[in-house]
Amino acid sequence: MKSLLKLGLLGAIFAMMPRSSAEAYCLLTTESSNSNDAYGCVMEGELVRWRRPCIALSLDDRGSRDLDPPRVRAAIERSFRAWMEIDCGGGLPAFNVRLNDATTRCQYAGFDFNGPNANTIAFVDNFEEEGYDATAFAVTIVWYSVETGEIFDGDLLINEDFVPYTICPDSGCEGDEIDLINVLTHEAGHFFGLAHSDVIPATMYRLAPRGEIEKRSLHPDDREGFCALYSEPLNPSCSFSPIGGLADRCAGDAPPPTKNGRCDASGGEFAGSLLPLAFVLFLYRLWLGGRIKRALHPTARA
Amino acid sequence: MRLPGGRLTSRAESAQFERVIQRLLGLSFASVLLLLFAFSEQAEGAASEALTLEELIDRADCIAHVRADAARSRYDGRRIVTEVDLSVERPIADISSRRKLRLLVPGGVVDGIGMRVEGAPRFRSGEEAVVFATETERGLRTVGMSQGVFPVEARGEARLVHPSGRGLALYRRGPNGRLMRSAGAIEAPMPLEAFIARIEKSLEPR
Repeated sequence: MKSLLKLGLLGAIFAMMPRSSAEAYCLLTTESSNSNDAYGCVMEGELVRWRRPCIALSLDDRGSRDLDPPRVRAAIERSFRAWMEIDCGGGLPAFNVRLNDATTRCQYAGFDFNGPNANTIAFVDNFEEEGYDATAFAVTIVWYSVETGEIFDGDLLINEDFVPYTICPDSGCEGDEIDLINVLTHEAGHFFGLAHSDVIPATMYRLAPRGEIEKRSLHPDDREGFCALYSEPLNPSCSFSPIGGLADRCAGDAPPPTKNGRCDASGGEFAGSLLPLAFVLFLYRLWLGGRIKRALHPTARA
Repeated sequence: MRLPGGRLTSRAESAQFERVIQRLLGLSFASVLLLLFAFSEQAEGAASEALTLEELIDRADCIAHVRADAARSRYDGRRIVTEVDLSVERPIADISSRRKLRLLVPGGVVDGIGMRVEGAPRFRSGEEAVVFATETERGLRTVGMSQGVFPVEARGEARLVHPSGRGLALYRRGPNGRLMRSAGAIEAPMPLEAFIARIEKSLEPR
C-alpha cells in the first residue's frame, strides 16, 4: 500500500512538472532567473498561462507599411486559429480569441495596473529605441501574476525594420520576404505561454529564416506543449473586456490624428496631409494647360 | 502663330507642340507627386542577423567577465525593466576603470505583476558570465539580447563558457543575401581563458 502511495505521489509530482525531460517544448514560468534543466527550460515557478477563455486582441491603427489592414487581420486570425483549433481532449481548452473590429492607438507593450488595457498587436518602426533587440522579427510581452501565473495581458510587437512583410502563398515565399503568418503563429505561441522549443520543425523553434512558412503549421511538440499548459478547464465565465476595461489608446502614445474634432481612424496621416497639396497641383496643371492652349489658339474661347 | 522662340509654325506643327506640352505637364505633375511620396516614406532599416563573436565585439562598448550581484525591477510608466548590478571580475575591453556595471533588461517583477520578454537575458545572483554590452540612451544593454551573455560555469578551479542566446531566434545573412539559420558566436562550451584569448585576438589591430 505504501509503495502504491509513493508511486501515486511521484506520479502527481511528475504531472505538475512544467515539462518532462523526454519532451522538447518549454513553458514560460513565473521564475525569471536562470534555473534551467538540461534542455534549457526553466523548471521552477508557476506556469504562465491564461485562465480566461475569452480574449480580445486589438490592432494598432497605424498598421503595417507593407500590408493593408484586411491582409494583416487575416494573418492574425489564421495564426491564432492554429492554436485555438488544438483539441487537448474533452473539448479543452476551448479558447475564444477574437480580433476587435475597432483598432486601438497603441504601439507600446504595456499594462496599466489601474486603468484600461488592450492586448495590442502593433508594427513598430523604432524597435531598438524602444528597448527591444533588432535581431528579432517580433517580440511578445506577457504580463502575469507572479503568485498564480495567470496572464493578464499580452502584446505582440512586430519589428518594422525587417522588410518586406508579406503573406506568402501556401507553396512558399519567393525572394527575401518575411511571411507574416509564420512570424505571428510563433508569437501567438508565446502569447499563450509557450517558451522556445529545441525541436527544429516546431513552430516554437527559436530560429526562422526569411521565406519560411513551416511555422504556420503546428508540430506535435507544439501541441503537446500547449496541452501541457491547458490540461485543466479555463474559468467558465467569458468576458472579452481586458482587465480595467478596453483602452482605445495606451499610455504614452500620441493621440490619433483628429479632423474637425473627430477621431479619424481610417487612412494614414501621410495620405491625409498630401491630399490638399495634390489638389492644388491638379488645379495648377489645369490653369497652366488652359493658358498654353489660349496662347496657341488666341481666338478660342472656353 | 508666333511662339516665344520667334519661329513661325504651321497649324499642324502647333497642334503637335501642344500635345508635347500637355504630355510634359502630365509627366511633371506625376513626377512631383511620385517624389513627394518617395521622400515622405520612412527609411527602411537593414535586416539584422545572428552575430558572430567578431560582430558582438564590434557592436559592444564594453566586454567583461562579470558576476551578477543584485537586480531591481521597476515600472517605467509603460513597462517593467530590471536593472542588474554586475561586479567586474575581469575587464576584457573598453570598460575604462569601472568595477561595477549596471545593465538594463526588459522585463521583471513589480508589485506581484511580472512582465516577460522571451529571449531577454536573465541573471541569477552570484552567476558569472561574459557580457557584451552597449551604451544606449536608456542605459547599458546587452548586445543582441541574450546573444550578448555567455554564462560561465565554475568547475572546481576551471571556468567553462557556455554558448549564448538561449531562447533567442538567430539569423544570419548567407552569401546569396538571404537570412538563414545560424549558430551563435560559439557552438559548444569552451574554457574561459580560451574564450577571452579569442576576444583579445579579435581586438588586436590588423
